[in-house]
Order: sequence, then C-alpha cells, then structure tokens
Amino acid sequence: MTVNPTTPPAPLAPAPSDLVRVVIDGVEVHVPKGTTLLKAARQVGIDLPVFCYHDGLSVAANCRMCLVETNKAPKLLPACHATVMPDMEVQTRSARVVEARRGVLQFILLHHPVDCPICDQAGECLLQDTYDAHSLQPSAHDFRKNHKAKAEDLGPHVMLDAERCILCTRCIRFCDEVAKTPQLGIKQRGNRSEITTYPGQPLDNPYSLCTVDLCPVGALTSKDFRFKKRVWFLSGTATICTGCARGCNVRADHHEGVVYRLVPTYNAKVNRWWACDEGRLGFHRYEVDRLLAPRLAGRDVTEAEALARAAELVKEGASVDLAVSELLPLEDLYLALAFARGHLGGRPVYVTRRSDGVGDDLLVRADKNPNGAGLALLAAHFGVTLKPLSELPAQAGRTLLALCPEIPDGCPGNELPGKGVSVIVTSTFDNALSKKAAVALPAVSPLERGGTYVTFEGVVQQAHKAIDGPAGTHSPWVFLRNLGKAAGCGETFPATRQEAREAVFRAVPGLAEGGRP
Amino acid sequence: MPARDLHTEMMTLNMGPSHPAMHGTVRMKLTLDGETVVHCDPEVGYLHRGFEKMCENRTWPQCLPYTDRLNYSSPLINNVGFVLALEKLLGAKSTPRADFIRVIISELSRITDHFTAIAAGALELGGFTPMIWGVEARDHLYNLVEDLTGARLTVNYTRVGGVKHDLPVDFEAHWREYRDKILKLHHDIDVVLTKNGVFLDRNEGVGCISRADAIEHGFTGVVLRSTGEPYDVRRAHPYLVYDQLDWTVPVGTKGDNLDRYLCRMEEILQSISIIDQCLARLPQGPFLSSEWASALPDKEYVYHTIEGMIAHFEMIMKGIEVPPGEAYGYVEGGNGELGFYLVADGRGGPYRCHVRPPCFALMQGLHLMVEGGMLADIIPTFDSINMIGGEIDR
Repeated sequence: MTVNPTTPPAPLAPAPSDLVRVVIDGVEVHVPKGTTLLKAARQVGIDLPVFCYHDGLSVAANCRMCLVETNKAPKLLPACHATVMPDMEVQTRSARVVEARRGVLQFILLHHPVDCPICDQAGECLLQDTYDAHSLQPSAHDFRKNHKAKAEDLGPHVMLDAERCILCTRCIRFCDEVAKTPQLGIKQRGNRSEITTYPGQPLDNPYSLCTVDLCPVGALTSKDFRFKKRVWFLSGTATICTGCARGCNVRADHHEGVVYRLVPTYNAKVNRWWACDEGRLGFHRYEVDRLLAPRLAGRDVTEAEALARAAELVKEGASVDLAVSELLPLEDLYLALAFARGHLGGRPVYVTRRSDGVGDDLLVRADKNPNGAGLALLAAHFGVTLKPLSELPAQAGRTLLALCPEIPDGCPGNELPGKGVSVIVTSTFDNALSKKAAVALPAVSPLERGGTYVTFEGVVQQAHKAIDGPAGTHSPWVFLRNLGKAAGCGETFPATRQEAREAVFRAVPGLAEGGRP
Repeated sequence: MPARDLHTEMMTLNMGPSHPAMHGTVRMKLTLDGETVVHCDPEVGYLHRGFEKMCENRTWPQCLPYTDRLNYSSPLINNVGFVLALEKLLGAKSTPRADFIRVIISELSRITDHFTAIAAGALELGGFTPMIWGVEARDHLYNLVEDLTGARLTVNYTRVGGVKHDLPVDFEAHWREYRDKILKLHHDIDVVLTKNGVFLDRNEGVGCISRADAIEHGFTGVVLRSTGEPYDVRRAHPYLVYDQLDWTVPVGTKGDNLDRYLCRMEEILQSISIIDQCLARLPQGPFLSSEWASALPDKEYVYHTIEGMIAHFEMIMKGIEVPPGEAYGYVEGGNGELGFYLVADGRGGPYRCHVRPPCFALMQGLHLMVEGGMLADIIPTFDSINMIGGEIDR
C-alpha cells in the first residue's frame, strides 16, 4: 500500500489579475492564485514547522505540524496543502496554533523511543529542533511505549528503526515520485503502523540513500554512515561529486581529515535535492590502494629524486608526449594543455578516461568522467587534438608524461603504452600504470584538491577542497610545475589553485562559475 | 622626615608583578623619595584569561563555570550575579526556595571572602596565628560548600531559574556546627587583633581615602563603606530576599585600613545572622524552575521520557536561546558591586559579556591611598582593598 501521490499545483504565470491578496501575521502579501499558505508565509519570512512537507515531493499533509489559523475556515488548516484565498487572514503564531503544535508534538512523541544518545540523527534532527522551538512540554502519558523493530535491514544501503519513525511518508513519496521505484509502503494501522518494503523486494533503487536525507528523524539511517561519527563534530565543505558527468552538488562532511559522508545540496540547474548512492559513496574508493610515496621503477624515493629522474627522461626522450585525464579539473587541464602547446609542438594530447557505464533518466550519466566537457572546451581553446591513450605509438625512446590520477584497469582506450616508452605518471592509486612507470608521483584525490568542473550540460561548478591529502601528495599540476622547474623549461606557473582558476577564467572567454560557456 | 633631610634623588621601584605581597600579579610602578611614596602607578593585566572574550563563543550555561574564577575568594556570589543578570535579560524567575538558597550561598561566600582578607592582612603584618585562624574558619565553610556543590572553589552551583540541586538534608545541622566554630575563631581574631598595638599602629590612619574621592573613583563595597558612605547593593537595590531580612550595613568614619578591617569583622557577624534567618524561613518547594526553555529538566524526565531527553539535548548543544537585548545585573560581591553587562543576539550564548568587577574600580583609586605614605604601608593598604586578580582580568 502506498500513499496516493497528489500532483503539486502547476506554477502559474504571475499575471497581475491572478495575484491574490493575503495577510499573514499582519503582513500583506500578493501571491499567485494557487500558492499554498506555506509558500506565501515564506515570502514574508515565516518558516512554518513541517515534517512531511518537502519542496521536492508531493504534498501529503499528514503530519499536521504546519497548521495555521485563517478567517476562511473554522478549523485550522495545513499550510502546506491549503491554498490562498482572496483577503485571507492567516495567523501563524496565535494561541490556537501554538496549542495545536504542542498537541501534534505530544502525539508524535507519544511512542518515540528515548534514543537521542544512540541515534545518528541527534544534532540534525527535525523532531528535536521542532520540539525545542514549538513545545518543550513534558510528556503527558504514563503508559508503556509501543515497541517496534530496531534495526531492520531495508536494502543494501538503508537501515530502518521503526520506533523512531513518525510516518511522514517522505521516503515513500520519494520512491514513488522521484526514483520511480515504488518500493516502500506502510503496513498495519494506527500506532502499529510501520514503514516496510514489499516481501522479497529490498529498497535497492539507485537513489535509496536520498530517503535517509529526507527522513526528518533517525528512522532511516545510512548503513555506511551509521555509528561512525556524531554529527556535531562534522564540518561541511561544498563540493562536487566526481562520479559522473552530472556533477551533483554535495556537501562533504569531514572531521579531522577524514570524510564521513557526502550529502546532496540543492542546485536547481544540476541535481535539485538528490544524488545517487553510487556517487555519494564513491569517496571510499580513495581510502584504499593509494600511492603514498614517489617511486622510481618500483622503489620508494624522495620527491626531489623522482623529479630529477623525470627531468632527465623529459630531456633525454626522443620525443615527449602528454596524457591528461577527463577526471581532472579545469585548472590542471588548462596548465597541462598550455604546457603542451608551448613545449610539445603541435602533437596530439592523449586522454585517459573511465569507460562509459549505465545511465538513467534522473541523474546518473553513462559518461562517468566529471570533466569531459571541460577538457573538450579547453582542447578547442588551444586547438589541440585529443586522442585516446591506446593510440600512443609504441616506439622506443619516447617519454610519456601522464597527468592521470586514476586509470581504471580494463577500460577500452586506456591501454597502457607498450615497452620502450618511459612513463612519468601522477597517480592517486597504486595501480598497473604506477607499478610499470619509470617515475610515479603520488597525486591527491578529488576531495583533497577541489577544482572547477564543467558538467555535461555545460554548467561550470567549483568544488572546494574538503581535506588535506596524505603527506607528499600533490595535484597533478603541482607536479607539472615542479617538473618544469627541475627540467628548467622556464614556464611560469601560478602559485595556488585559486590563481590557476583565475588564469583559466581570464584566458577562456565566457567561462564563469555557475554559467554555461 | 629623615628622607627629606637627606635630599636623596627620587627612585623608581617596580613592586611586582611577581612579588609575594602583590597578590594576583599586579605591578606597582612607584616613585620613592627615600621611603616615602611620591607616586604610585598600579598596573593590572598581568593575569589575563580573557573571560569576556571566551564567553562570546560559549553557550550561556558554559559561561557559568568561568565566573567561579573571577573573584575566587567568593565564587558563589559570582555565580549568583551572573545568573541574576541573565535572568533579567531573559525575563525569567527563579523559585522562592532558590531565592533563599542563593542568599545563603552569597553570605557563605562573603564570610569566606572577608576571612581571607583579614587573615592575609594579619599575616602580612607578621600575625601568623590570626592567619591560621582565619583560614581555619574559611575551611569550615569550604566543607559546607563542598557538601553543597561538590567542590570547594570551582562551585558552578547556580542555574537560570534556580540552583543546580537542593541543599543537602544535613545542611542546617552542619551549618550550626560550623557556625559555632566560626564565631569562636572570629572572637579569637577580634581579641588578638582589634586592640593589638602593633596592628593598630600599622592600620589606624593608614591608607585613608575621603568619601568624595571614593565615590569619584567608583569605589563600592567595604572600601567605600569605610569612608562612611553606606552604599550596599543589597540595601540600595535589594535583590533576592534581602529586603525581607533583618540586618545592618556597618560603616566606618575615616576610610582607613582599620575601618575596613572593622567593617569586615562586623559584616561577618551580619552574614551569619542572615544565613540563620534564611534557614529559619526557607520555604519548601522546587529549587529549580520547570521552564525547559531555560532550565535543564529533572533527570527523571531526561532518562525516562523523550521530551525531557530532547530538552536536555537541545540545552546542552545550543544553550539558552535568549532574545536579542541587553541587561546589566549587579549584586554585592565580596569587595563591592559586582556587575555583569550582557548582550544577547538570539543565539544560545552571549554576543558580549562584560564584567564590572569591584576591584577594578578600587585599583584606579589605590594611588590616593598610598601616595604620601610609607613604602611599607602599601602592604596593609593593598591588602585592605582585597584586590583579587581573577576578576580584574582584562
């Protein structure tokens, strides 16, 4: 059984004749016909408390937290559902409303377990904050609380604590309306009601972790994050998911140099409120198999030794080629291509990329590279020809400078150069190429460097650096700069990523953050 | 007179900051003509913890333990002063029982403060025995404070809306026991010091300040009252239940060290009487308000109901959300008017917290009390104002 989704009212053209005058807490405001009282109240700066309402979902009006008093109805109306009427007077702070909120919270908390000390949501819990702001009344009951399942496995990523659930149905509506996979419903009646999956059908849609974000309480928790860190220790950094070409906006929550989770943040142009499970768990791949020290033919050395050897290879090489990656942000790509144009003549630049996977029609793109569009843009700007790495001719005496932090094995087009080519690689991982390379330099991961990316739709977005990389790791462009110095190529490089970004924005016309070039 | 006759050159002498008699790390830059003090320039600030600045990124309840460390001779009064200012800002009220308890603890602290000043003053003039007696009296009261708060000095006992917990059941019995011991010690000190020739020589007519000068320099407390000005916050602007109690404000006449000593000795007796009256009239009822917006819920609610649990959690994480505004709350501290000027901006902690410590005002008029006197008289005079480094921290 699922809740019937009601279609939200379509946005109307704001023709003056369609504007309705309403007075909210004494403040007059004119809003289009069909606007809900909740949205009208926001226009005068009043945020009504809600549990079930969410901007990205249909209106259920089941939590009754947003009840307001009007002069058009004898009973209190749910502001998320009731629409404006001409000359409506709305009270959001009257005694009746305050009393109603206390009543609603009393019922919601009636069977709520005393779990805050062990609940992952504590500290970012809508129920805690709403009770603090609108009730603070002691419990009125003195009977035993209802008990329900405590750690129910709903699917690969989500756990349910049915006792904590307040039955707002946000998760159900998300699955029905956004993920289009109706996998959740409510079973039983009254105070025995519980969120559940259908028998044998786990909550396994590609966006299942969005139900955890949506859950206003600690009922749905992420298996990946639960019990890892109390949320008040976390600092959030606005960044970009680098899992595919969509470029979902996410907040990286970290503490003492460790990232604990990625949470989607709202961006109307890119991902709205959502992110896929694969993308937001992708940061874990940078926790293992890291290349942590510079290496010469499999031997750990200092950075100076590695750079000296790399400079020798660049100078001695019969010819030097450059490889870049579609995973790199604009700053690294810009400096690499500028270097290639200045020092490598008109030869093509070779490209590595993650091979295409499966996409869907919500967010996930088949193209798993975060900056393919950015690389194409810069190649056009510099007039550089791009070729897959597999097309690099295997010829003795050549040197390949590969600014490729990740080269997944077994991707067509990424076949490693044959024998005789000396490879200098900046690699995040200790992988096939770093093992085979003449010189391997340890590179940072995306969350350790930040950078500017262009989505497949052409939106230019900046990811901020969330944490420091392990000691000795650098961005590929920093190695390029250090190598340039060691080789005495005379190139001047910017000092910081910020300067590099300004240089790109200056050089490429029409490129601006948030815009589409 | 000999110094003048010898026509010596003026000498600049740094007394402190690390000098045994300069309690609380104060430096006095002295200009001496022989042994006569021509100019005295006291300099505070060597002891600096940034109490006011620290408060700005703490919650209101987190600020309270810091107040223990202001005047550490009477930490409970600081607690009371801070929450009274905060309650004024918040428009909150404490319970009737808590009002009486707050008076009791304020007077306990006043007695410990005065005994400390008298004991140290005697010691610095060579009176080791009265010092031991004074500290013994103070220790008896610290036992009582320890029973009450769990700590002898870092008490952290008051709360918005009341106090942390109720008086222990045997509090009154213990008080009676210690009261008799303290009265005996008070009597002994009185016998040994008050008519002692050496003590009188060093204190009578020494460190004088006029009533007008004292008012001019913002003096309060014992030092102001020793000049004959009967200003006592408890009487002039009554708070808690002081206006319901029977007590007097002792004043001096000459504003010298001896008057200050005598005022303190008498105030100890007055405070004992106030405590007796409060214990006799202590009302039953809650010791902490049940307004969960400003007071932590009882543990019974926290452990067994989700409502109490959330209220506790939000208070600990966010503090007390005080509507934007400002307030100045003030009480009679051990050394005079102790004021807290608090500014709230709606968050759970202060936007600005300023403390008006009585000793800071005393320090700005200290030179009037020592200039023209002998170098050696700085010791009893500085002691008689009982400057406490913890509260002039800035």
